[in-house]
Amino acid sequence: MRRKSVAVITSLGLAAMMVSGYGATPSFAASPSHVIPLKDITIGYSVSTLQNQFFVGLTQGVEREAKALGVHLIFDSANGSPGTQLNQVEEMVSQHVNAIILNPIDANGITPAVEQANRANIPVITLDRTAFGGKIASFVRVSSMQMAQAAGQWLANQLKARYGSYRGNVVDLEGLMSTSPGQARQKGFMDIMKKYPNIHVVATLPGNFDQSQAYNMMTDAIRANSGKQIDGVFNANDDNSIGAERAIAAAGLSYPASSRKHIFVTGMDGTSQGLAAIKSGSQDMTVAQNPMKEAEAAVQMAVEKIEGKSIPANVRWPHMLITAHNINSAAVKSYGLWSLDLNNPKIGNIPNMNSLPIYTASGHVAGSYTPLYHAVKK
Amino acid sequence: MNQVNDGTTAIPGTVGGRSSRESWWKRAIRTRYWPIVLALVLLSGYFSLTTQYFLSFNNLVTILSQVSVLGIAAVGETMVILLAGIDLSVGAVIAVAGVLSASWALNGAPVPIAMLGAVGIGLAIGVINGTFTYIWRMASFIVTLAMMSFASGMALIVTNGSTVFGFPNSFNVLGSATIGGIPVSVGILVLVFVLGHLVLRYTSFGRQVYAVGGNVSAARLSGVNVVGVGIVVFAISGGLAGLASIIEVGRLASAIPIAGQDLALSTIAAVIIGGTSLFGGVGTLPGTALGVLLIGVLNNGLAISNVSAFWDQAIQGIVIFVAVAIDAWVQRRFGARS
Repeated sequence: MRRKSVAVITSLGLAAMMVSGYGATPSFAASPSHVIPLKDITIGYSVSTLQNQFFVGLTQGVEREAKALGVHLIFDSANGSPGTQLNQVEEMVSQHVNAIILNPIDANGITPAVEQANRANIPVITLDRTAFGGKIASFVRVSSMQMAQAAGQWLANQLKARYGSYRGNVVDLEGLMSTSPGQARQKGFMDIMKKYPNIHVVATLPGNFDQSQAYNMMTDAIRANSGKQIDGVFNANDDNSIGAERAIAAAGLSYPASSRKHIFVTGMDGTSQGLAAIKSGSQDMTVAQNPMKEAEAAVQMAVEKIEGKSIPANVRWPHMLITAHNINSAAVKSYGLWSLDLNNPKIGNIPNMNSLPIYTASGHVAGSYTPLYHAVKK
Repeated sequence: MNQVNDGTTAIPGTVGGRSSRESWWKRAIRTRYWPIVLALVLLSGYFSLTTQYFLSFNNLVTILSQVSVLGIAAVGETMVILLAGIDLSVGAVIAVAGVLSASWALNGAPVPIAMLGAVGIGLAIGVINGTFTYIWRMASFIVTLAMMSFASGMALIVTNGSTVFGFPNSFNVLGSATIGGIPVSVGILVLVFVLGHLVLRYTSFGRQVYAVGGNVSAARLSGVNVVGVGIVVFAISGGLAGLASIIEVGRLASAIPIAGQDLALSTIAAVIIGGTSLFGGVGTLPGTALGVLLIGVLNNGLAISNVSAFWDQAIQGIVIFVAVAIDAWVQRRFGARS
């Protein structure tokens, strides 16, 4: 463990220097007004739950980056309970951590804790989900709505290619609608479907981000529509898609992508199982995000903020559309397949801050954010 | 205990004298199943009016395969509740037995061994539950609650929160294969129910379960090995959950560390809907089968008729409540007479 972390620190340190272009001479180190040594920094991190690969990815990103930078990390999982999370963040405030990275369960419920942190002058960075109240130093996430729009548009394009116009029958397997990603993804998909009145959403059913539930719902959707051809399935994540694929196979409706009877299956997040399904041909695409890199960026920004630098208030990490055609491409490799790096101790973290896009509220790129690390002394 | 459980009416064999000569359906109508049967008939009628595909043989088979995991777990749960106990760990057993056995298969263990391993994990957990409940005299609610938490945690620890997949396809036989159009999982479900019913109704072990659940002291005084019966029943519940885990994994060709999260409550609901008393000693497996079917028909019918997800849950609550409320009313009103 210890040896590995040294290797990670070394590689990151080198990479960071290359990124910022200062080579081996840290000439910049003298200029900052106040610099807290990294070893004296403590960052609190509260994650909503660890019962899902995605949040494990976020957490590994935070842990790796904290270890790489050599800062202390106080890490808590709220296990899905908003009350627990509130307590955890309050404890972090009373321990006077230097910054808090927060992945809230409930955007409203966590607000009192954010306000407490604000009063104690502890910067709060929200990761993947945000808080509706209090002052947030930065919100780092991939837009679930834009991901769903990308998947919906891709599906519509396949139907256009099949029929010559935007028409056909699709099934919508929603995520867990009590969560913000569940709602945002459903809205994003329906935004696209509203553009194409001849693409019929023949069933909207709760897949609940749960393979077993999605399997049952897709089986029922196939049964309820046994008279007509289903052309595609929109899935709110890669667990829904795996369940849908099993149901399609069990119903004897698996056809190769070249066949006109093929049911296009979309996914989201890019879990290792989703990627394996794309390689095997049972799933057509997924809209991947990279929680590990997002989380690494959040830690880096927390350190920047602690060191007195200004950080972007709004970071929308880009998503990546992955199909069988590009899954081995250089573009996908450089974006990073987080789920394959998960639990792989050989892979250190990837420096990612050389060109962090800054998005406006409407989703346009307003520039890029580069000057990270440059004054931080190890 | 309440007057229904006075030790005689509780034991089917002794109710028998008169009723065992009647055919089973007459007995079912005369006793307590009809509110649930009525709910099933009304719901099926409604769903077959709204969607033409509901009332088909294929859909019936689909419903049965969808409830196979729930149903198999509910057989064990029925026996535990007959003892006036509760087993909250069934869902967690499904998670931990599923991920462990699947990862053994993934790492090259022969598939039959891995499958036996899943049942073995369930049995072991059940024996632990039973031992602490009956030898250490801890409340089964707390023992199995702690076990639920521990087993769910272990499932996450061994997988690091990730799904296990890519194991040999032969592991999926129980969950995915069909024989003559009938899923293997449905065959196992029916088999487990029939065997369980025979054991409860026609063996001395079955009669001992009712005796212990009806009145522990009376059972002990009449020479029943209460501790032995208790441990065996919890072992059956755990072992059946282990068996169900193989089906759950096979349906999806994936072992998910958070599988079965809400399953404990659903199985308890199915058992109680089916007329088994939480106070022990009263209840049958055909009743549980009706409870399982009611939950399955509701899920399937609501999905097929495309009701929104939020209404789904609310309607399920209403239907279950009304069915059980009518049942309670019938019991209060006419229960004493039969």
